[in-house]
Amino acid sequence: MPPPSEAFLAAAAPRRRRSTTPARRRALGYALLILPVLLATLVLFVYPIGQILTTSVVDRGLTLANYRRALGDPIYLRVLWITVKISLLTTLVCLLLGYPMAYLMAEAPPRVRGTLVAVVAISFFMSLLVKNYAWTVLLQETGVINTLLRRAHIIELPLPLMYNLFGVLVGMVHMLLPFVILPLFSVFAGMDRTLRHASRTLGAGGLRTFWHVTLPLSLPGVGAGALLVLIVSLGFFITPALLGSPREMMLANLIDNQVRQVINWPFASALAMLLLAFTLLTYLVYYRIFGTERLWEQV
Amino acid sequence: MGGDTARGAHVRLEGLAKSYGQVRAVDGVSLAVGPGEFVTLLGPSGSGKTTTLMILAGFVDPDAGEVFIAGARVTATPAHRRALGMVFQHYALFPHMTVFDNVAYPLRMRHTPRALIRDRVHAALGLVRLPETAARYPRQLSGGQQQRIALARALVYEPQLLLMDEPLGALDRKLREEMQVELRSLQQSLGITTLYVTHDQEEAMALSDRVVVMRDGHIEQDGPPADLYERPRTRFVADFIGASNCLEGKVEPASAGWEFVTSEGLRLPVDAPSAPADPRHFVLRPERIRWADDGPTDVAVNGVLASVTYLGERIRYRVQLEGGPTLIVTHPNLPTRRPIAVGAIVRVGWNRADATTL
Repeated sequence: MPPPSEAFLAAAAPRRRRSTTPARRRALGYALLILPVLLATLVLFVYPIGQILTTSVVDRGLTLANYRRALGDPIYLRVLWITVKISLLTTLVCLLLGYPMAYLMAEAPPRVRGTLVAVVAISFFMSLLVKNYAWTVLLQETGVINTLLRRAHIIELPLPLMYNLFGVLVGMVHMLLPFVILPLFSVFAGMDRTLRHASRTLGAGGLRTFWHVTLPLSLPGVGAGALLVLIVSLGFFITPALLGSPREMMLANLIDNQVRQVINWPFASALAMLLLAFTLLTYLVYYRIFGTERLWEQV
Repeated sequence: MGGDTARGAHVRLEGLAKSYGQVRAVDGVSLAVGPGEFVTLLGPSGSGKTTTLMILAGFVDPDAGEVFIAGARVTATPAHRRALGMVFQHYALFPHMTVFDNVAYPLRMRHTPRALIRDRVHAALGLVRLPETAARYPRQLSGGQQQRIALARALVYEPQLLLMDEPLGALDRKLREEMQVELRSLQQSLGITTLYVTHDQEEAMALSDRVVVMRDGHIEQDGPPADLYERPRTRFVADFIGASNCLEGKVEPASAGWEFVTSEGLRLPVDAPSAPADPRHFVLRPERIRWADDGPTDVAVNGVLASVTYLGERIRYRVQLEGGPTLIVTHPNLPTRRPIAVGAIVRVGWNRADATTL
C-alpha cells in the first residue's frame, strides 16, 4: 500500500482535531460554570473550617484535650443533650403542625392556595430577630397574652410562657415551620390524585386511604422536611438566647459563651467541630433511610 | 371468579346535573344500563362524559338528579361503599406496593381472610394472564401490563359494576387493539355491567353493546354502534362517528319523491325526510359511494377526480361534482382496483337509503 498522500493527511488532520474540540469545549464550559461556587466554597467554608479544626487540636503540639473535656464533663454533655432534645422536639412539633397545613395547601383551590403559600413565604422571609422580639412582646409576663388572660380573670398569676423550654420551642417552630411545609407541599402537589380515588373505589374510607396511600407516599417529604429542620435546629443560637433561660443553653450558645466571655478559642473550636459532626451524622442517617431506599419514587 | 352466572348490576342515572361556576358540565343526563351490558360514554373533551362517570363513582356530588345501582339509591353514598370497580387512564396502581399488595388491597379493606386473599389474588392475576408478576413493583411493568393489573385489582372482589375512564388511552395503537379484544371477552365471560368512557369512536364501536354520544353535558344520541353509524340523528353524531360527507342545503318535493338541493344548486334524489321536518344537511358515508359503471345505483352524478390518497388498507378519492360540492369516496384497497388518473371524468353513484338528511 502506498504511503498516504500529503493532501490526504492535510484533509484528515483538521477533521480529527474538530472531532475532539466540542467535547473538550463543553467540559471547559462546565468547569467555568462551577468555578465561582467552587472558589466561594474554598474561601468561605473549607479554609475557615480548616482553621477551626486546627485551633481545636493544636496547643504546642497536637492534642485532643478540648474534645475530651467537651465529651467528658457532665456540664457540657448536658448542653449537648439539651441541643439534641430541643432540636428533636422542634422537628416533631414542626411535622405535627406542618403536615396538615401542607396537605391543605395542596388540596385548596388555586386562589386559596396562593394566599396560603404567600402566608408561609412571608413568615419565611421575615427576619428571625423580628420574629423573636415579636414573641417576646406576646409571651412575657406583662405581655399581650398574659395581660389579656388576667383582664379576663382566667388566670391570677402570669403564665411562664418564656425564658423556658416552651418559649424556645415557640420561637424555633415559628422560624422553621416553612422548612417542613414547603417540601411536604411539593410532595402532596405532585401526588397523583387518582391514587386516592382508586383507594376509595377499592373500599377504603378517607382515614384508611390516608394511612395506606397518602401517608406512605408522603414519607420522602416528611424525611426531607425533618432533616432540614433538625439540621438548622442543631445550630440555633438567637432564639434560645432571647426566649430561653440558661437551662435552655444550646451548643451554639455555649460556643458563643466560650468565645466572648471565657475567651477560650480552642475549646470553642472543638465544640464547633462537634456541632458540625452532629450535623453531618444527621444527614448520614437521613441518607441511609431515604437516600438509598428508592422504593417509593414519585410516579 | 366464576363467569357462569351473570352478576352485573342494573344502573340508572336520573336527570343528573353538575355545574362548575358558569359551565354546565353535566346537564340533564338520564340513562339506564342493563345487567351485564357494556355501555360507552363517547364524546369530545368537555362533553361531560368523565364528570358523569365521576358522579356514578361517587367522587363528584351532582347538583341535581339521582344515581341507582342494583336498585338502591346511592346518590349520597360515599365512594368506598358503592362496591364498584374502577380502572383509571393512568392505571393508578399504588407505587409503594407490589403487584400482589395492589391486587390484595380491596380484599384487605374488606377484611378477607389471609388464605382466601392469596387464592383470589392469584386467580385475578391469572384472569389477566400475568400470574408471574405478583412480587414485582408497578414501575417494573410495561404500560399494558400495569393496566391489566389495574383491571385485576378492580375485578378481584367481584363487584357488580365496572367503571373505566379511558383505560387504554395511554397505550400505543397495536396494544390498544389487543386489549380491546381481551377486555371485551373478559367482560362478557364475567357478565359484569360496564360503563366505559372514551373519546375514541372506533374503540367505542369495537367494545360496546351500546354507545352514548355526549355533547356539552347532554346525551346527543344513544344506541347500538351500528345504529349510530347507519342512522345518526344529528349532524354532530354523523361527524363524530366515522367519516362522512356532509352537504348543506334543503329538501324540496320533486316530480318523483324528494330532492336535496345543495347550496350550490345541485339536486340529489333522497328518501322522504323523517326526523327533523326541515333538514338542512345531506350526510353520506364515503365507503357507500361507488363508481357508477361498477353496477346500477339509485343516484348517479358526474364529477372530476380531484385527488387520490393511498392509505394502505384503503384508497381515498376526492371527487368534485358537477355543479360544486366535493365528495370523499373511500374504497378498500382490493387487487381488482382500477387505477384512475387525477383529472379524469368519473361518475359516482349511491343508493338513496345510504344517504341521510338531517
